[in-house]
Amino acid sequence: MRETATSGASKSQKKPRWALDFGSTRFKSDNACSVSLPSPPGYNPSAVQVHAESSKENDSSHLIIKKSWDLALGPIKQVPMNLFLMYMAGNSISIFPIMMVGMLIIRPFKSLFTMQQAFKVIEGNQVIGQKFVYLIGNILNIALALYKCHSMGLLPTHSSDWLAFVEPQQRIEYLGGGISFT
Amino acid sequence: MESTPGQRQHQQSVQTRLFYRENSQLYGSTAGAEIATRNQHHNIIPALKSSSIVGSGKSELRDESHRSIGFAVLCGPACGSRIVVVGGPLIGLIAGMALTVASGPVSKSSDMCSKGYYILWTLFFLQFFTCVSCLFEDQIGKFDWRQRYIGKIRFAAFDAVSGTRKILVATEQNVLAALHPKSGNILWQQVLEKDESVQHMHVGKELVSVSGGPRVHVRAWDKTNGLLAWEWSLSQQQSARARWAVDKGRLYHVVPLDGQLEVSAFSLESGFDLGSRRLAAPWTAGGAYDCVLVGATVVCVTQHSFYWTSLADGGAFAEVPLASFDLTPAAVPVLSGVGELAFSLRLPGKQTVFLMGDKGPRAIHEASATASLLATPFDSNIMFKLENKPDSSALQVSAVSLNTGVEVDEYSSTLILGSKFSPCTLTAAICIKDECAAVLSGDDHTISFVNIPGQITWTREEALASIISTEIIDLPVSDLDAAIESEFGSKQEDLGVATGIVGMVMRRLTSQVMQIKVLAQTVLGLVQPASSSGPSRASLIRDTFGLHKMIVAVTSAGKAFGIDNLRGELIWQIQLPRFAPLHVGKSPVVPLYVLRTTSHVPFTPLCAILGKDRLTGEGLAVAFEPIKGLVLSSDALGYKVQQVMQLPHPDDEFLRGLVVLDDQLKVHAYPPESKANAIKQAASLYMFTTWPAKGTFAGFSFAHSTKQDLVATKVWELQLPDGPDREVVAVVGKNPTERVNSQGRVLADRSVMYKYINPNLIAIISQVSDSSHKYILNMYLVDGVSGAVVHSATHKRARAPVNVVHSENWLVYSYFNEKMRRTELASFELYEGKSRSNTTAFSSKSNSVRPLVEQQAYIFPSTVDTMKETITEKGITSKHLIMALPNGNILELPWMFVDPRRPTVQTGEMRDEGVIPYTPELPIPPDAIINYNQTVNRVRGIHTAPSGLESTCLVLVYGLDLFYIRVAPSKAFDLLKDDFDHFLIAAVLLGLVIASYVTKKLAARKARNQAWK
Repeated sequence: MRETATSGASKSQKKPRWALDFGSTRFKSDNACSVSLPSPPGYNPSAVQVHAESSKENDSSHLIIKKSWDLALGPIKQVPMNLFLMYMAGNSISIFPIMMVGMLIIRPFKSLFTMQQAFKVIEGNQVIGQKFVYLIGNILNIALALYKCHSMGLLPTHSSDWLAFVEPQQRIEYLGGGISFT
Repeated sequence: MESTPGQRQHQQSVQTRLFYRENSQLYGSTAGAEIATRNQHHNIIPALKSSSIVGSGKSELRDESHRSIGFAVLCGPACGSRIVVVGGPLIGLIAGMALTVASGPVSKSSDMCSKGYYILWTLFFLQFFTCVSCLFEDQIGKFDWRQRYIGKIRFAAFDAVSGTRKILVATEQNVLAALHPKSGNILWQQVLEKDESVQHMHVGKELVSVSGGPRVHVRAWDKTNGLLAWEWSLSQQQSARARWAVDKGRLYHVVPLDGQLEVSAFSLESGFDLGSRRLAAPWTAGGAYDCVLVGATVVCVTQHSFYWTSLADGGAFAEVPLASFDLTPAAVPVLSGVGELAFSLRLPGKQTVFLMGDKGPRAIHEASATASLLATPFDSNIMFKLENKPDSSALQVSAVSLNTGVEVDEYSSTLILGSKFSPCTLTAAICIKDECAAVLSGDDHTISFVNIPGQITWTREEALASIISTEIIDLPVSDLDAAIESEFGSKQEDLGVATGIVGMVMRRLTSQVMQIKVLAQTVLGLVQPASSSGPSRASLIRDTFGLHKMIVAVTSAGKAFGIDNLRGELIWQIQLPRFAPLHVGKSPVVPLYVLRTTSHVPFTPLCAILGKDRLTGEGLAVAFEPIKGLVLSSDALGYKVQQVMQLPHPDDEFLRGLVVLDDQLKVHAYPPESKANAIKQAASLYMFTTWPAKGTFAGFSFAHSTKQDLVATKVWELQLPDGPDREVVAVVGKNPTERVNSQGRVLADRSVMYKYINPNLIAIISQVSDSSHKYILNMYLVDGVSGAVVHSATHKRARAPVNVVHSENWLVYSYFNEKMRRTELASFELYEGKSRSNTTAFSSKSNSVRPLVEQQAYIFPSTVDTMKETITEKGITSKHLIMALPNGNILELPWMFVDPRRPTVQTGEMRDEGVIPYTPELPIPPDAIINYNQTVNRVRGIHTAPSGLESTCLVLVYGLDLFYIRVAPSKAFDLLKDDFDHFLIAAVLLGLVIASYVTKKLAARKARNQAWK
C-alpha cells in the first residue's frame, strides 16, 4: 500500500504543471500525513524512489529488448517441438514425412536470409548478441533437419550415392585370341 | 579363409550344394535336405539342415541356432497346391495371407514341404520382377520374324499321287519336309535328331525314311501332313557302302562284307526280318568297286566288268565285261542311279547311261562327265540332263528319251542365273501330260524349282540353315546427313581446300549450294532423290532409334547374305566360291569383323572374313561392303591363319585393321595398309591362343615390334594339368564392344562393392576323364595379358555340353551333372572389394587384386543348346540371358535369377538389396519364352547387338531356322508404348488451352459487367 502511494506520488511529479489534480491535495495531505509519521526501521524512501525512477526511465526500451530477445530465442524454442515432430514423422520416405522435413529445412534457411529484416525494427546495444543467438538457433534447426535427412537416407553420404559418377576404368592393354584355328 | 575388415576371401570350391529329397508327391522330385547357405556377408556358413522338417502339420526351417526362421505349409494335390505361410517374416505372412485369400479356405493338412517357403518367396519377389514383357495377340510378328529352312537336299521326290502336289525332301541337316511346288513354302517338316542322318528315302503310299546308325530307324510319314504313320528300328553295322532299297513292300539292305555282299530283307511295314543272304562277290575284296541299286537290282562295277543280280530272287551275280560296251576305264568308274530304271557310269571325261533290263545293262546315251542326269518316274520314259555352264553363268536343261536315247528338243531350255550361279544337280523330276518340272539342288545349298520348258519359278536359300557367324551392322545415314557429315568429317587433304575459317566458310557455302540445288531438283521432279539408286536402297537408311540394321551372315556353304533386320528380307548375297571356313575342333568358324562402320561417310563401310582356300588350305581374306554386298577384295594370304584380333583404335581413315598370327607364329596385318596403325598400337596389344589337344595356352605381346615389322613375343604359357585325358571344352573371353555402366554393386548398408571388371579375363573350361569320378569339369579364369590364374573351380562328376556366358564381372555356364543327371548352371561373380585399387585405369600387368568371388549353382530344368547375354549400347540396362532350349524355345532368363548372391536365408538386408532368395531350381516361365509358339529348330548360335535405344537389344537366333526379335530387358523405359494415346493426350491439351482462353474472356466480361454495376 505504501509502495503504491509512493509510486502515485512519483507519478504526480511527472505531471505537467498546468494540469489540475483534484485528488492531489488530499493525497498530498495524506502524503504529508504519512511523512509526518516516522518511517519503519530500515525503511529508506529514497531507495524506492531511485528504483522506480530507473525502471520508469527504460520501460519502452525494456519492452523492445524483451520482444527482440523473444525473437532471437524463437528458433531455439522450436527445437524441442521439431524434435518431437521428427520423432513422430519416422524414417520412412513418404509424402508427409518428406513435407515435414522439407518444412524443417526450409524454415530456418528462410529465417536466416530474412534475419536483417527481422531485426530491422529492433535497435539496441544487444542486437549483436541477439543476432548471434538467432543464428545459433537456426543453425541448430538446420542441423536437426539435416540429421533427419541423414537418418532418412536422403543425404549423399554413402559411397553408393556417388557410384553413378564413378568413371569406368581406362583400358591399358587390349587382348584378342581364342582357340587356334585349324 | 582370410578376412580383412573390408574384404573377405570366399570359399573357392564350387561343389554344387543342391540337393533333392525324395518327395515326389508335390513336384515330381522336390528340394530340401541340405542347402548351402550364406550369411549377409556371403560367406558360406555350415549347411542348413532341413531334412527333419518333414513333419506332420507344418514344415519348419531352422538355422544353426535352431531359431525358427519361418515355416511353410504347402498343401498337396488334394487341396490344389495352395501355399500358406504361417510364420516367418512379416511380408511372407502378408503374402501368405494374400494367397490364402486368393485361394479360398485353406484345408490344413496334406504334405508339408520346406520348398513352399522358397516358392512363396520367389512368387512374392517375382511380382516385382515381371521383366519379360508379354505379348499381345496383335503384336505377333511385329518385332520378330522367323524363317524356316531345311538345309541342302539329299533326297527329293515329287508326290503326284496324293491330293495336292508337293515335293518331298530329305536333307543333309536330317530334316524331312514337304514343299509347295508353286511357292516353295514348307508344308510340313519333321526335324530328326542331330546325328540321325537320312540314308534313304522312298515315296510310295507313304514317305518312308531310313535314318540313323548304328541303330537304324525306319519310319513312314503321312505325305499330306507329315505325321508319323509307323516306325520300327533295327541294328545294323555301319558302312559307307551300305545301300538301301524299297521294292514291292520289302526293304532291302545291301552291305558289302569281305568277298561277299550281304542282302537283308525286311517287311517294310512291320519290320519283320525276312532273312538275309550272302552273295559271293569275290571282286569286292580289294575294295575297288562301286555299287548302285537300280530298282530291286544291285549293279556293281569294277575296273573290268559289270555285275548285277536281282535282290528279290537272289540268284548269283551275272557279269558283263565293260569291254563289250567299248569302255576301257583306267580307274574304277563311279556309278550313280538315274531314277528307278537306269544308272550312269561315270568315267573321266564322259558318262554313259545304261538302262537296266532283264538281260543286263544296255547303254543308251552318252553325256559329259559333269552333267547331272535324272529319269522321271512313271511311264513317261524321259530322262533329264542338266549341264552347268559356268562360263555363261547358265544351266542347260535337256531331255533324252529313255527308249531311243535321242534328245527331245521340246524340253530343252537354258536357265540364266547371272551372279547367283552355282553348279546344280537334278534331285527330282516329273512329267505329267507333257508338263515337266524338276528340283535342282545347288552347291551353294539352294533349292530351285524349274518348269520345263521354262524358267526357275522359285529358289530357296538353304545356305541360311548353316550360318556360321553373323554381325548386325548399322545402316548408313540418309544422303542429306551424309552430306553434312562429309562436310565436317572428312580429312582436310582429301578435299583439297584451304583450311582455316575461310576454307570452312567456303566449304559450308558450297555444300549448302549443293543442298539447295538437290532440293530444287527434287521439288521440280527433275531427278529422282539420290537415295533410290538401288532397288531397295531407299529404305536402307538409319532410323531415329537405330532399330533398323543390316544382318550380315556368313554360311558354311560359301555364301554370305545381307538381311534386313526388320522384315527378314534378303538384301544381297555374295558367292565365295573358293572360301572355306576355318575350324575350331570340329566346328566351323569364320571370324567376321567390321573394319569400318557406316558412320564415316566419305569412306565405304568395310567388313572382312577370314577363312581358308578350298583348294590350297591357306588363309583367304575377303573384304566386302556390307550394305550393298560388294566384294571389294579377295586376298590369298599365303599363310595359315592361327589366330586373329582386331585393332582397338582406328587409323585416320577410320579403319580398324586385323592382326593375324599365322601357324609359324609370324604376325601379319590385314589389310596390309593398316600395318602402320598396328605398329603404332603394338605396345598395348596382346594375343593369346590355345592348342586344345595339348591343353596349352600361350600369350603373346607385340611390344617388341620394330618400326617395320610386327613381332610376337611369347610372354606366358599355361599348361593345364591332368594329362592326355583332358579336353579343353570352352575358351571364352568378353565381348570387346561391351560397356559396363555401373562400376559397383550397392549393398544393403549403402556401401559399394566394386566390380572386378577385367576386360582381359578369359574363362577356360576343361573336362577330364577320371577313373573314380568319371568326369571332372575344371574352370579357370585366366588373365589373358599376364597369364595369371585369377580363380578356378572344379565340378566333380560333371561333363560337357558346356555353354558359357562371360560378361561384365560375371560368368555363367551350364554343364551336365552326371551324378544327379540334370543340367545345372554355375554362376560366378567377381568383386574388387569395398575400395578400388586404381580408380582411373585397369592394367592387367600392374593389377595385383585378388578378386572376391561369389559363386552359386542352380538346377536348370532343361538342357541348353546355346546361351548368350543381352548387350546394350551403354550397359545401363540389366542383363538377361538368352537361352536356346532343345525343344525349340528361346528363353529370356534375367541374370538376377542366377545371381550368385541370392541368399539361402532371407535377411532384411538382402531384401533391401533387391536380391531374390535362393531357390535351387530355376523357373522356365512360359511368358519368358520370347519366341512364343514359333519353334526354332536346332539352334547353333545366338547373336546379340545393341540398338540405338539403350533399353533395347537385338537378338538373332540361328541354326536350322532363323529367328530375330528385339528384347528390352528392363522394359522399354526410353520408348513410348505402341498403344500410347497420342491423340487423346493432344486433344486434352488442346481442350485445356481452348478452355483457358474461353474462361479468360468470360472472366474479363464478367469483371467488366461487375464494374458497371
